Amino acid sequence: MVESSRRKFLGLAGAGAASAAAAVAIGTGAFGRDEAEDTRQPTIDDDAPSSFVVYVTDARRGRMTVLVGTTERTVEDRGMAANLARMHRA
Amino acid sequence: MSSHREAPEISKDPVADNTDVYAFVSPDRPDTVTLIANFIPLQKPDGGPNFYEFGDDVLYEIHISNRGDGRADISYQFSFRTVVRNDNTFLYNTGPIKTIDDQNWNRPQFYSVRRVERNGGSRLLGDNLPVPPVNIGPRSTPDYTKLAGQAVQRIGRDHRVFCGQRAEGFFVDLGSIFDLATLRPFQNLHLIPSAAAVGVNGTQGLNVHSIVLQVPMDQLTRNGRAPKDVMDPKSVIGVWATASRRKARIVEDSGRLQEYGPFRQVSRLGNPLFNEVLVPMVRKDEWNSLPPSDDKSFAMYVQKPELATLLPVLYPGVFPNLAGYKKPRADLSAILLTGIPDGVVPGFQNFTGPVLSDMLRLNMAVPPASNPNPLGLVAGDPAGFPNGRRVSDDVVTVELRAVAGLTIPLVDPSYTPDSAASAIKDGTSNTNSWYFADFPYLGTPAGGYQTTPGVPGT
Repeated sequence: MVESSRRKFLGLAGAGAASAAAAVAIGTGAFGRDEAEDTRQPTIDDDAPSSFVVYVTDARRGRMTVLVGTTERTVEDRGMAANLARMHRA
Repeated sequence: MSSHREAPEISKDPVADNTDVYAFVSPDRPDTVTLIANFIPLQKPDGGPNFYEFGDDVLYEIHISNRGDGRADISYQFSFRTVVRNDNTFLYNTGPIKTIDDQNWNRPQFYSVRRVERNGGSRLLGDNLPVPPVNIGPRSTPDYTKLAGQAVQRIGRDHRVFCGQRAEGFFVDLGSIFDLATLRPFQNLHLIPSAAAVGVNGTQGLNVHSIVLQVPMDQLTRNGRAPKDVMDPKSVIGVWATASRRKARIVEDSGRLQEYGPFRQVSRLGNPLFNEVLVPMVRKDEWNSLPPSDDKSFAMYVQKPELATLLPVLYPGVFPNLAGYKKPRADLSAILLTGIPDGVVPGFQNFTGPVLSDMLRLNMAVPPASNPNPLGLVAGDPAGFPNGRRVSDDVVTVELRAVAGLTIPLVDPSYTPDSAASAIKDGTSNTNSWYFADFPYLGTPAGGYQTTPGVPGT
C-alpha cells in the first residue's frame, strides 16, 4: 500500500525518538524550504517505537518503506527522500 | 542433496535452510498424518561449544494446501525462544543433563506452535514447549534417547509435536554426484571412467534439526473428514515447508542485532531436489522466496530438465532413447507440479488440479504399507514417494530414474526407456541411526563424543 501524505508517514513512524534524525529534523525545517513551511513539531506518541527503519526504495520517486515492529508500510514523499539524501551527504 | 545448501543465499544461512520435508500416513496411527520439516544441514555432532539450535529470529512453517491451488489453507507456525540460565560461563552445560528441565543445561530452548488458516483463523496450540539439548556425549547427555523423548508433546486436538536434533535420515552420495554427476556403481560408464564402486553416504554421521508434527487427518482435509476413497480429490493434500526472516536487520555498534518489519520467506521445500537440481542457479534464491502457487514460471525447468540432457553426455551410449526424446516431460510435471491424475497408475491418484505448484502431494486415503518399498510408487508401493514421502524412501534413486526416463511411458506409451533408467542409483542407504517405527520416526542423533571424524581423502 502506498500512501503519499507526509502526515501519514510521520504518524506511521510515530515520530518517535529514533525518528529524530529524519522526521524531527524535517519538522524544524532544517533541510529545505518546503520543510521550513511546516513549522509544527510532529507529535510523539507515548507508545511510539524507540527505533524503526525507513528504507528508501526509490529516492527519485520518494518511495519509502517504513518498518516498525513486524509491520511495514510504503509511503511516497519526494521531499523527505531528498532531505534524507542531503543529510547523508552533509 | 535434497535441499541442503541448494541455493546461493540460503547456503550462507543454515539456521533457516530447509533440508527435507516428509509427509506420510503414520504407520502406527493411521488416522493421522506425520509432517516433518528438517533444517540446519550437515551438523557435525561435536560442533560445540555453541551447538546447533533453531533460530529465535526465524519463523518456521509447515503449510498444507487442501484445495489444490498451491496456496496454504493451513499453516503451522513454529517460533523459538532461547534462555541463558548462567551468563557467567561459556559452557553449554555445567554438568550432566539428565532431564529436559535440568538446570545444568545452560541454554535451553522453547517454542510455540500456532495453527493459522486461510480464512483468518489462528489458534495457539502450545507454548513454552521444550526442545531437547543436542547429543553432546555420555557425560553431558547420558541416555540421550530417553532425554529427547521427554520433548515429545501433545498439543491441540490430538496433535503430537517434537522439535529438536535428529540423525540425518536422508542419504546420498554427495562426493560423487557433485563430481560431474558421477554414480559410483556406474562410473565405469562415465565420460571420465574409473572402476565401478559402492556408493558412499555423504550424510553419514551428521545430524539435522527436525520439526515433527502429527495431525489427525480430519484436521487437514477441506471437509473436515478423514478420507477413505483414494480416487476422491479431497483425499489429497499438498505439503511444503518454509523459513522466513524479518525484512531488515541492523548490526548495531555494540554487535547486537536488531530486526524490523514483517517476516519474508527465505527458504522453501516441497519435493526433494526440486530447487537443487531443476532450477538454474540464477533463479534459486527467487524460487525460495515464492509460494508454490507462483511456480508456473519454473515449469520449463521441469519439462526440459538440465540433468536429462547431461546424462546422455556424461554416460555416452547409455541413454540413447533419452537423448532422442524431445517432448516436454509431462511425466515429471505430473509427479512434481500437478500430482498424478486418475488413469495413469491404476487405482491411484494424487492430482491437485491444473495449478503448477511444487508441493509434496499425499493421498491420505492410501493406507500405510505393511512392507514399505524405499522406491515407493515406481516400485508398486503407493504409500511412498511421490505419494508423500516417508523417512526411509530413497528419493535420490526414484528421481534419478524418473529424470532418466523411467516414468515417461506413464504419459507417453510410445516411449521405451533405456535399460539403464531402471538400474541407475547412487548406491547409498541410510548409515545413520535407524528410523523409529513410531513418533518422531527420525533416529537418535549422533553424539559429539561418540562420532569419529572423517578421514580426509586426496
